[in-house]
Amino acid sequence: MTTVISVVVALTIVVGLFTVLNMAADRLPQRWDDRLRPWLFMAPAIIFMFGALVVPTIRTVILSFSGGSRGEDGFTTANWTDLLGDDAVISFDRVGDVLTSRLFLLGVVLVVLALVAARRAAGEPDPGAKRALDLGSPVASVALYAAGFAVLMAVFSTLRGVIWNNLWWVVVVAGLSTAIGLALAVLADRSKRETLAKSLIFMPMAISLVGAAIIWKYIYDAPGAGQAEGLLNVLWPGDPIDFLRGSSGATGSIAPWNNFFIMVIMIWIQAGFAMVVLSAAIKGVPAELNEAAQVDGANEAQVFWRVILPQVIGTIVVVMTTLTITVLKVFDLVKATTGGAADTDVLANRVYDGLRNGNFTNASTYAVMILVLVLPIAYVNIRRNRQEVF
Amino acid sequence: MAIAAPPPAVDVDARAAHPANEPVGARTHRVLGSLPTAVLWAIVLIWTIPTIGLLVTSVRPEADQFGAGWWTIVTNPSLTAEHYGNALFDPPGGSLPFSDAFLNSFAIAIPGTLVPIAIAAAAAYALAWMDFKGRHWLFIGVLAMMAVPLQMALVPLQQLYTGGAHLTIAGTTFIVFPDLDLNNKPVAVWLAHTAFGLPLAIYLLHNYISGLPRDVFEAARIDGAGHFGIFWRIVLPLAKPALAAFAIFQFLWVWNDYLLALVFLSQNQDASPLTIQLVNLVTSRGQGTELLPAAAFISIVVPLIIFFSLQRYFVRGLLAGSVKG
Repeated sequence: MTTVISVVVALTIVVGLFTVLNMAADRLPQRWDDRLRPWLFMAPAIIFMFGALVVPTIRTVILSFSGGSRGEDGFTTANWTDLLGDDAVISFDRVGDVLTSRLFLLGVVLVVLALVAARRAAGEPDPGAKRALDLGSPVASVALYAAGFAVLMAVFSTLRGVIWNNLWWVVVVAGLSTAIGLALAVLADRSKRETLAKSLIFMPMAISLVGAAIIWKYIYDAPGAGQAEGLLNVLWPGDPIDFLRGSSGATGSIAPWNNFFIMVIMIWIQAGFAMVVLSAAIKGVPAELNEAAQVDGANEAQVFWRVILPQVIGTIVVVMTTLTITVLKVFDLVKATTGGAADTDVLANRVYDGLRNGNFTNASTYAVMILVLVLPIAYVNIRRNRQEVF
Repeated sequence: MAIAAPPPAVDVDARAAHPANEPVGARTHRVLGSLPTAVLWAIVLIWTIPTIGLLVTSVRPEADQFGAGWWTIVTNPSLTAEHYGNALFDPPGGSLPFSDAFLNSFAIAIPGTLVPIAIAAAAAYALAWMDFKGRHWLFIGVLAMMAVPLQMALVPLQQLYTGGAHLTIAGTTFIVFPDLDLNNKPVAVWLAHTAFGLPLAIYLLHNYISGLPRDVFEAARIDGAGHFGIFWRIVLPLAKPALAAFAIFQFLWVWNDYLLALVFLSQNQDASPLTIQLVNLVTSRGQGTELLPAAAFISIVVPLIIFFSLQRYFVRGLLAGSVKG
């Protein structure tokens, strides 16, 4: 309690200081006021962001290129060569296995299906149309999306390593949360108790990742010492499986698919976010467009797929990129479920381990690795913002 | 010009409404039409089952928790509040009582919300309505900082907290940041949260404040108000929805945070918040696992209350950051 009181006191003093400085600035001639005042308003923000974000970021990059556990030795690229050469972090050993895996074949089948559907869709209603393939048709688009998803699942479940794991997280969580969120937004839109349904789906966003890990522990646990059988195991035909750690019975294992079950927890949380944002976007499509399409004879499905969806593509991209950035930094969930063991390790966990062990250069290298993956996505996000702001 | 035929003597509408007389396929349409709603509520049910499971398990006696599943509570109701009592006041193994952890979470979340909002509001106003050189680049900088993952700042921040920062130029050493030995104190955690929350806060508030009507400012300026007067008396009251939205967002974020608390408070058990104590309980393996559901629920009850009562603002904050108007 004393902490809070001291904070309130400090805050009052700072606000008081701000007020006094402003009143002093009020006395200045206009020209000086115009030049100094903005900096008075910006000062605290600049100090905090510069000191706690800009400088540390630069320092972390420098640390990742420094030798010794605290950066005391000089410049070196050893941290990076070690990281990229470590098979546990990134390995290409099983590329061949990817091409023969069932998921990859499923992806190929789905692409063929998509092309067939696109061909048929292009043929109607106007057989004389020039297009040979209508990839925008519902069946074709969904099949293509599913195909891409299946292929990426094949890649990341076969090639193992911390970096592949993070990328797998991105594909599954961003891909599925957005799809589920979109479906839910559409379903809720036409239902009577829309607000209630959306509230309940959105609610997990308020819960901490640690709390969510515990909630799902009671779904995923295998019966054993000190733990009851989780709900999923009760419903699961066959032997109980420890879905988080992957072990099944004494010798079996579902690894690396135990990762998938941890990702489900994240999807449980983030689909609500996707749903809320996409629902607002869908409702923002001007009604005239819908009506015009219906007048032209389009049925409901066609109106959604050909009129509404193209309008909200921008928002879909924003949702996916936001989710991607969130997922690349995932730490709490992995730490609270498996601690990074059982082939569930992620980059953020390695950063923490390095920090804990006092191996600061190692931790920094992993942190910069996260930054490298985040930057392209963030760039896309920022470019969209720039166009709209200034 | 044809004259409309007189209406038929029979009441066509009443006849058509009778189910037996529905056009073929209309019935199928009706049933299929309710299919999306059925699917929706099935999904909603699946979504809420995990949380209900936790709530039910938290009030079951220990023996029942490890015996049959929680759904058997319908046939075999036996409830107890002892887990809540034990978790809050007397957990085994000498770990911190959850009532203390509860207060610790507040001690971190409240400053971690108030301070960034105050700083960001001033900065957002300056970027939105003041004309000065470099405002464009500062805003780009804010956007760029939004992208930087907080892992990038952890190591240097910890060094800053434990050793301070100094700059040596031409033989003389300047103290840039004094060695306050802040590590393992709550202030370390919420200072970090302030810094990490600022970019998003400035972005959201700027979005809103720059949308305020220009005439309001001009009228105020004609009346002789300067920037500070305008900020205090006009912008802040008008920006209340955005301020509330971000406050809720940030409060939940800090309350639910685990990483920063873990990094900066690891050795200080007495000051650790709910998230840390919760994970400690999970990994304790054996001691006190029957308290886990109750403890988890204690940690999520405040976010749930905030969520359900102030959902509108939370959603608004989310949307402001994601959907362009």
